[in-house]
Amino acid sequence: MHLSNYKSIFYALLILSIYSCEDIIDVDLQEAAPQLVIDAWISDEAKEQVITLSLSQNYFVADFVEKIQDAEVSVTHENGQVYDFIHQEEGRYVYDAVSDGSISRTGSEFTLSVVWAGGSYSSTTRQNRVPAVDSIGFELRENEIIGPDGIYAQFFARDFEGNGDAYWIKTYKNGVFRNGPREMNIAYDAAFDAGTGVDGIIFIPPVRELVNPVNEEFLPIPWEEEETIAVEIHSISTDAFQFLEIARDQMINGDNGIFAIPLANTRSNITNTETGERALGFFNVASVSSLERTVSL
Amino acid sequence: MKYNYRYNIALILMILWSSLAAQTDKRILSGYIKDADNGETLIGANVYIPSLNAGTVSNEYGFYSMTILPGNYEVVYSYLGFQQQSMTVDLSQNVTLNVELNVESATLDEVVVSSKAKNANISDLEMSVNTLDIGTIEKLPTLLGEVEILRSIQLLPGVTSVGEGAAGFNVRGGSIDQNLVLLDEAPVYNSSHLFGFFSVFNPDAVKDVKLYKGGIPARYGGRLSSILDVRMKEGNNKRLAVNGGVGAIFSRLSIEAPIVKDKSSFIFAARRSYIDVLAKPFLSEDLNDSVLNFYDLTLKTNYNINEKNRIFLSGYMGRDNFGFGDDAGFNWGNRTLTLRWNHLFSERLFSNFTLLASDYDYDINFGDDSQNSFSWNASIINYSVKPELTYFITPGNELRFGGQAIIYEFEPGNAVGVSEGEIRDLSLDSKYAIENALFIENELNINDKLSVNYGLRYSSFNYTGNGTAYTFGESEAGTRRPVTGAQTFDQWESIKRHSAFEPRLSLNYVFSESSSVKASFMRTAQYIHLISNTAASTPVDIWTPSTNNIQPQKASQFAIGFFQNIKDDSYEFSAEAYYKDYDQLVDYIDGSDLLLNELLEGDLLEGDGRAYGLELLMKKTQGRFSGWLSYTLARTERKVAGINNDEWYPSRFDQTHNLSLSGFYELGKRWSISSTFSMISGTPLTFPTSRFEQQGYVIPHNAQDSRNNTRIPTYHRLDFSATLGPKDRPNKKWKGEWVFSIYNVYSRRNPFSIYFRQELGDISPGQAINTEAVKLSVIGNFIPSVSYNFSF
Repeated sequence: MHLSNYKSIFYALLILSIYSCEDIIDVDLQEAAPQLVIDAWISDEAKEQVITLSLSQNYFVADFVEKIQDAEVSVTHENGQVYDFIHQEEGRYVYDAVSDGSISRTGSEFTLSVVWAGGSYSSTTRQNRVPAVDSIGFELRENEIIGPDGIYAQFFARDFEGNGDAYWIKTYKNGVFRNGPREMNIAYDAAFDAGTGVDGIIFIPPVRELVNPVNEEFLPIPWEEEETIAVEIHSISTDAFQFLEIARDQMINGDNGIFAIPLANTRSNITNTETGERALGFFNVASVSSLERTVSL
Repeated sequence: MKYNYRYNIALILMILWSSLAAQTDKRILSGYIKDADNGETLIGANVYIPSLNAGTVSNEYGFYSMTILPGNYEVVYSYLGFQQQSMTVDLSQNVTLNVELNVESATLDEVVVSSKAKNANISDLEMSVNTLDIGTIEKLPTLLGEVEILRSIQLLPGVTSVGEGAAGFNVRGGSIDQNLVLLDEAPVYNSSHLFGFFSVFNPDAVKDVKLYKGGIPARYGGRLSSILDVRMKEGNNKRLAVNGGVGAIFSRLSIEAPIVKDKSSFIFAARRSYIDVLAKPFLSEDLNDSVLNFYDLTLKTNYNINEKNRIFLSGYMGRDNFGFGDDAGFNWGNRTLTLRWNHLFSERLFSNFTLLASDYDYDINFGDDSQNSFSWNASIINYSVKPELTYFITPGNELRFGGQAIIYEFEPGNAVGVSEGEIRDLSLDSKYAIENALFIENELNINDKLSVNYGLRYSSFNYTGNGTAYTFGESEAGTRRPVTGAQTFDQWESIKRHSAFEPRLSLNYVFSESSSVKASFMRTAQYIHLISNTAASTPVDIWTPSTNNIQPQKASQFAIGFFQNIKDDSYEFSAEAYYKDYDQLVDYIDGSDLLLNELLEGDLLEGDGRAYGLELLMKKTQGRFSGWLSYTLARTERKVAGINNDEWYPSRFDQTHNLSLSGFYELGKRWSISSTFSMISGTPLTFPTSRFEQQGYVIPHNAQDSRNNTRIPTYHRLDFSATLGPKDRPNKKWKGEWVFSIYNVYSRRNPFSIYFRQELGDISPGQAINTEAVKLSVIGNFIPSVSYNFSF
């Protein structure tokens, strides 16, 4: 288990150390050559499936991402069927699952192929099973330790029997994806990670409740009546889980204060077929289940 | 590093030879040396016979013994800060002489830094050893006015910390679990309250603090880098004495008194924080039953059965408690219990037998109903027996031998999770181990100039059942290793045995009364490891034994030092250089799961380390102005397959320069002031070079895949304190003292670390995401405090 899963309690304790403070500062970073980045998280949903290609950039450069527009991108099912991803604009390579049929073969293997600048990159993954979102519940909470009074949501779903199911739970508030790093909600079987061996139960409370948006102080934001909440569960591979776990730990490492962990690089599953070097990014094919509700008590 | 066993045999032969050199037609002068005021035994007091130019010092229990030819002798007893006592002794037969020394009636309260006798620092064999007098520790300015043992030792050369608020301390490049912290011989596994802000030791109950950074004698073992030997007071056996204090964080009270005068006494000391009391007005009503406190209790008692037998019983219990209504709770703490029996087989053969038990545990729970909850606890428990004998062959020739057996029980995690009424037990198997050690050491003055302490320790560790031992396959360096097999074992059935020979050697060559050169070598082995990959260690970090997958950590250290006293010993200067080589250190894969992980061993890496440095210390020990200046130039590095491209990299607590200045000044009869200044190179940290986006998240990336590639800015801080002592009214028993202190006088926001994040606030999907660097300062301001101490 990662300590960061308990950060809320540490955070509460550290608030006690009223003497601490944080300042945004300027720092010089070492230069690094840009690297190929492949953002290939696709699913079985009948909507546009997008793979994005770009180059990595200096950590502090936000507004100019160099897109790769001249690559060949495809995904091949283990039975040989090829799904071509066609470049549309700004490094976005699209397979239109609405008109051409969704990529849905739960349990089978898919291979990503990217050819760019004389290099060939490839990755193989399996599309895993996903449990249904059984329900979303609402509750009026008052005088809680953490967070203001108001309506809070949680979703219910049951993990499959058998170890090794990993999930990425995405929440949409009024149709907008909650994309804060602290809101990244991943689960291994029904709990935080592989080591605990928890299996086959209803997702544990911290996972169920992370569908509530989180504010800058890391406190949950309550829902208003008549807002809509949609919860999606995406099945991910265990390697994808590790990728996201490291990514999240790094993005929110500052919340750990004096208990921060060393910076670690995420581990890509996309390699150059000749050199074995890894591109940045990840390839995952998800099965998706979802449920949308209007908030009401 | 390889070790040749033939040396062991040579060593043992040398030891036997030296003990045969003893002669029988001699007489023995022996006894205990005590403080006349309170009956506390004095550790390291000097006994000297001028006509023979021979002397000895009292041991950890205040006992001394000299075997010399019959005759009439003048014997001088001395201890710094006490009046010297001279006696004429007729040694026509063996004499037992217990001596009580009176405190020097100096008009000014001088601070005694380190040495117990003038120029002891020159003549002692000890190097890389710092002794801090509790009186000195009490005078140092501190955070919120709390007298702090662990922070005080960080003002000495070679002792560092990863930053403010971090638990533990680092000695000569060692991680915090490489320090054996002993409280009356019982190991203390977590030496901090409130994460790392305060240490668990109540200064009112502490008599003596000694830190071995190198040249550790063979009688100590079990950790690689240092021994912090904290000895508790025995309790005043002359009269009732009460000490107490009211500070910003703690209130303290200690009571000591004779039970049977001059035969038996006790001390009971307690401290409790009152953050919760202070925080109460700021908490909402439903949080009124929140608990936020920490406390510790210390009890020690002793009984002098007769001249030959004395027993001591000491115990400690401390706890940090954090609770938020019924919803969540978190508490942790140590407990120790030590029973000791000093027995004199003869006036020349002193023995001590120790039985001890110690544990550290924590307990966490969440959830306000039976349908959804999580409870989790973990612990390390050990029981130990430790016989140790000292044979006083001649003055300047002592033989010590003994051993230790330790039984460990590790409970790495007992956890039960309940989700919507479904209960899952996530508990991990307990682990068991037995550690044994035998040692022999001889301290010998070869001639007037040269003395030596050489010894050998043999340690072994047996990782036993019951439990399941896993085997792991290969994986790419730095990644999780897959489990390939499992085998179950019965209780106490051996799973894996480790052992090590640990030779130790210290040499001292005295040039003159005021200068000497010392050198030492030590090999150390460590069989239990604190599993922690965070910058500062947390209270939930677990200890794990060496197993079939985890090797014992080992280290070798060479040190050489020059010691010089100036101006009639009023200034002491020392320079020490060391080189340390570490093998089989524990490290962690990226994304490791260290808690509640049955397959933890698959997430651990093994690496090498090295540390080297130069330590300078200049002390002024006498006069109205006293203090010390310490400077360390050091490097500590690690090399681990799978980290930093398999290259050497600086450890997280590597500090190139570390300068500290501590000064004390007596202004007058009542006022005294003290100040400390520290300036320390920034510790290394890993900065990203670049970023990339995945699904709308900005992920930091280090293109060189390097570790600790940058340093945070230099740390510096000034603290100040002023003490108003009691009025000089000899007939009044009540003595009160006010301590005013300011921590971080010029409000520097010293960085603990720098971290990187995307800008706060909601970002619409597709919008450019800004990233920023944030400096975290644990103390962002100056902190004044006032405390009041009393005694009667």
